[in-house]
Amino acid sequence: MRAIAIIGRRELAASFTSPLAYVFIVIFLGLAGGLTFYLGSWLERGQADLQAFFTWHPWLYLFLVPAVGMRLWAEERKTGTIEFLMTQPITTWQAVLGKFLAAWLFVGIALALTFPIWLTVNWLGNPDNGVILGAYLGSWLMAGAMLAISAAVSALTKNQVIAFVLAVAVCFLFLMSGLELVQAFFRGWAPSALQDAIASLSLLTSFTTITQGVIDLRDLVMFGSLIAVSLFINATLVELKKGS
Amino acid sequence: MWQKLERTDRTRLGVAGIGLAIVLFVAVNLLSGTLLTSTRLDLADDQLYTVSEGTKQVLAAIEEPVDLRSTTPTR
Repeated sequence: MRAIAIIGRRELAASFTSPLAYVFIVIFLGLAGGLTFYLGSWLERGQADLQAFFTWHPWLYLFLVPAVGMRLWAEERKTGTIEFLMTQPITTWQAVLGKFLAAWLFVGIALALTFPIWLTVNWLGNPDNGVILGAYLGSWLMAGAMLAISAAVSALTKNQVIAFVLAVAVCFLFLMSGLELVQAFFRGWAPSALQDAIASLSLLTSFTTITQGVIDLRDLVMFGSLIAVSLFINATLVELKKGS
Repeated sequence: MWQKLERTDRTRLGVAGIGLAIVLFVAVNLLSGTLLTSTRLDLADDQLYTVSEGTKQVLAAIEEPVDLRSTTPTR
């Protein structure tokens, strides 16, 4: 536990000493605000809710979260610092968890910094704050799931660009798995139970349910198991690549 | 445990582990999809997405049999 906290603190501090953290946060806040006000026409809707704000999150995360996750392992391998990390008296699991939690917390900080829009909607009207709280939780969970996928993909390669592109592709498939784009591929040959299972793995569907204020245990299980399986694959890949 | 294994064993074990993890992931979600159908927390004001007691009473009092007609567009 202590080792995880140490790794996490080191990773979080490292991202704030480089321009990365500031670039990410400024771009995230700028895009989230711009999309909400202009493309989402938040003010013109005249409704005291943050639907127009949260609908953009899956698409923002699709590009921004893999950008955070791509460096986690690929950079360590490229610069050779992974040898130093792996010779520390910590297990692979502690390194994987520490890195993931630090990056997740970092995305959480960026998400929390969108609080002015929450203040604005409370000042302008009388929104349902329970729903908004649930939507923030769902947004953070979805970011965590995408981040775990990105971290696992990052452990696969030395090249950060490859890690980024692959992570975006995998995250896109998980976002779309409930929609026609992915379902059409399975319709011809897969049994309907499998089709339903794939549809239930959709990040987009789960996120939409949560943004409406319904926290379904199935969605929590989906996010949790996706994070767990991605981190397991991440740790296994790090172990396998140790020798190479 | 990892250290004692030969190189090829490690690779095979790792790949098998990843495969099993994916199978387990799909299985857990299939299971939760069929078992955990009624466990949800409704955060909305006035329990917007929860069937209320009044609705349940109305539904219980409906005279059977009930005819249901559905119309689906064909493409």
